[in-house]
Amino acid sequence: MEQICINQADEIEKAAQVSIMGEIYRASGCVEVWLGREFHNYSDSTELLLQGVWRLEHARERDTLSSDSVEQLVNDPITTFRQIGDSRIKRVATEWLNTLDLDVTRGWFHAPHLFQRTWFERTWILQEIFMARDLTVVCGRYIVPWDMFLLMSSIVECCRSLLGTIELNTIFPSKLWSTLWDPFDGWSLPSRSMMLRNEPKQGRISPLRLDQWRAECQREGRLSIVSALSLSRNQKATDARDKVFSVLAFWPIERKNDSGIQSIKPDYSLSAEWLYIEVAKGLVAAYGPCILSLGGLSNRSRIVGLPSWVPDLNSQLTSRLHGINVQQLHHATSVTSCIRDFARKSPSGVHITSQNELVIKCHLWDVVAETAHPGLNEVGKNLDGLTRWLEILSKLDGTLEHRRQALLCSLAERPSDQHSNASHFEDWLKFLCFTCMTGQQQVLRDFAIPLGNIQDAQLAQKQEPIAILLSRAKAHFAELGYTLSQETIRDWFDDGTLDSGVTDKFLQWQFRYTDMTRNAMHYGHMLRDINPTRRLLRTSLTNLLGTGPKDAWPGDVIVLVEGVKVPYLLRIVRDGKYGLIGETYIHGLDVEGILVDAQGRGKMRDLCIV
Amino acid sequence: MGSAERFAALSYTWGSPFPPTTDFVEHRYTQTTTVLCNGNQLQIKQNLYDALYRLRDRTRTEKSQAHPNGIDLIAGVQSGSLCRVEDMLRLGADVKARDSSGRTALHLAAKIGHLDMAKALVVAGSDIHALCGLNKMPLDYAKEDTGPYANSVADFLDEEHERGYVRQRTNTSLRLEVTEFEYFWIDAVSSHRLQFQTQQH
Repeated sequence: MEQICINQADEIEKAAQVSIMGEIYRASGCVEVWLGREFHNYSDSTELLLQGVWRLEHARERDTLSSDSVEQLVNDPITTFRQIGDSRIKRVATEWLNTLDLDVTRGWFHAPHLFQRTWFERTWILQEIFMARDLTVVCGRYIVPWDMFLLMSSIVECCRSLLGTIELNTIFPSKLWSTLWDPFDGWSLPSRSMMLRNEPKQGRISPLRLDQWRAECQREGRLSIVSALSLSRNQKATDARDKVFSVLAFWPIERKNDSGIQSIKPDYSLSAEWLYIEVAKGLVAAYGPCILSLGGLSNRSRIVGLPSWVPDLNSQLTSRLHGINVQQLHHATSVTSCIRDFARKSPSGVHITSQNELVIKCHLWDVVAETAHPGLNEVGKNLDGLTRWLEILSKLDGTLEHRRQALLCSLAERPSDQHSNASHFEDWLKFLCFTCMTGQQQVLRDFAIPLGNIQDAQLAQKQEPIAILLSRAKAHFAELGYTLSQETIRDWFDDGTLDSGVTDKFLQWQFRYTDMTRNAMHYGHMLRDINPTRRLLRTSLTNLLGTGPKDAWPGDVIVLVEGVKVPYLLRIVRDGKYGLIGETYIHGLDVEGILVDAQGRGKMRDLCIV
Repeated sequence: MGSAERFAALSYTWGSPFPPTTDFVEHRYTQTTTVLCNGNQLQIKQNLYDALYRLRDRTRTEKSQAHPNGIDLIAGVQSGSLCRVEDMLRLGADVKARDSSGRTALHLAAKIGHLDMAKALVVAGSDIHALCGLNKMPLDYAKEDTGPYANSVADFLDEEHERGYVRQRTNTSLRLEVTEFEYFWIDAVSSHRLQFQTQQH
């Protein structure tokens, strides 16, 4: 290596260089992504995965896959593979899958080792790949052009979403899946239930997620600030300030001070707290009070001194928010132009005091009466989660049908049952009960380590005998107006089914199981995409069902904020000032109607959020 | 930066590139190595060192001027080992090299009826229309083969022929050189932030 010019930099120069990095990556002919050596231990299946990736190149018509096909695959791999029929891409994909071995595909329930590499998690890679004209992935001796990397990722994504279903074999016929269909091989079932419990981040593998944003960024020239910041929130940085600095290349952030409007530049003499507050002020100015959806106190370590309404950019944001649509923001050109005069307009009824307290106009609507255990996609080890839900449900007014509907809609946080979820809901409930009952705790524990999201206390709890659980499940299903068929009960009770190997009975089960899982996943994924760590709650005066963040407690105040469609949970922290807990969803609440009414009757008041 | 030369940029991580693993591996990736750049000593972390080592592979291709690699490739095809052929192609073996009868590796793969090998060779830019000393194309060899998989190679070559698209070995997995650009931009912001630009041989 020769001709290396080095600029040993101090803090100031470091900042100056950080600020031109985006330009450097934009100017480069190609960005080479170095993922590290091929493997670090014998269980790392990366090499097995990459060895045959060249086969996928036969899917290309020319030098690269057409950008349309790539976009379709990246946006929705399952639907795309379902629809493309007997195309070249599908044939090539099937051929490639058939060269892999079972040990490789088994690990796809969470994510292949390759996609768990640290590169995918870093904050700075966002600008490096968003700005890049062309990308090549290098892992040890393997080189993978970006289009092939995406094709491979979308095949993996499609397979892992359909693992354990018969449909997978119709899309990609392979002997591989036959063993993975086996609902009792100790992997398939608990893995699916783990997939549901985990946060959406684990739901979709990184390259697809990143490329979706990359395409967006390249089409629009930039991302909206909310998208940009919510992206960097989910990546890791050693320095909390880099969460802001790393997005400046695709979204310049401006602030108003005495001498006019200035854009924030990388400067390592600033504190993270100051930066986050400035960003939050800018967000309030641009979007109004709906940015409360991004903030909220939580158990996770927040930067000390950060007001509760300020989004903590150093903590992950994995849920889909109702108050602010991160996904759609940058589709709307009008939003982009209105943010151009960022920091110039101040939405009515909102202001920020010199102590960085946010004062908003809102209506104190109700109080949380009681809450269930956190976790929407689980019923607890001894079905106690389900027991608690039913307890809360029994206090609601209305018919059984009405209450069941309330539960179904509240969990999914959807106002009405548009997608005929009723049958999916039933199967989902059965699926959760079944996975809980068949007692696959050991496997859950094995999975818990890489996924790191299961509560230890829950695992430590002793499980009751299956007969007791079964009668409990039967009673609970009856309470909800569902009947567990004799057949199901026999299946669940009979340990023999689990160990009998491939018998007729077993095969029958397999088919029923496949149907149930498909429906269960349909509903479960919907919950997972919102945020499976939330909890069910009941309001006090209005006696309605809803959900709130996992930190919600009885006694938290539900407020409706002028100009925002979702209610928020607040908690008094000191001197009549409130801390923000987060967004809540109340089934059957007409936010706009109540706000108009409250305004008419002069019930709106200023609240101070600290 | 100001120069008109086009360059590639590297995107990598400072620490261990692997998901959380043994202390031994983690520790290794916190270590720094001293490299000599332009007469200056420069401390770089293990992962960057690994990357630079990989990128420098380029120097090895220069040995292939007399196509020893290409001859190895032909021997590899004759050995019938797909892994060996894949590895050679990844090391930049020349697919245009010919044996004493003027046959390329693809002619031989077609002759022995090895479909996967033929596919790999085509991906790596083999010319499906190349003529051997007997004026025959790989397809002709495939048709002569009477082995159990003979038709599959012929069908594949036929299909490739119909597509009429000649693959260049630029944007494929089966190549050695990571980039064609002469300059490489690497941002080495670690404990000290520094930047350097390397020119490869």
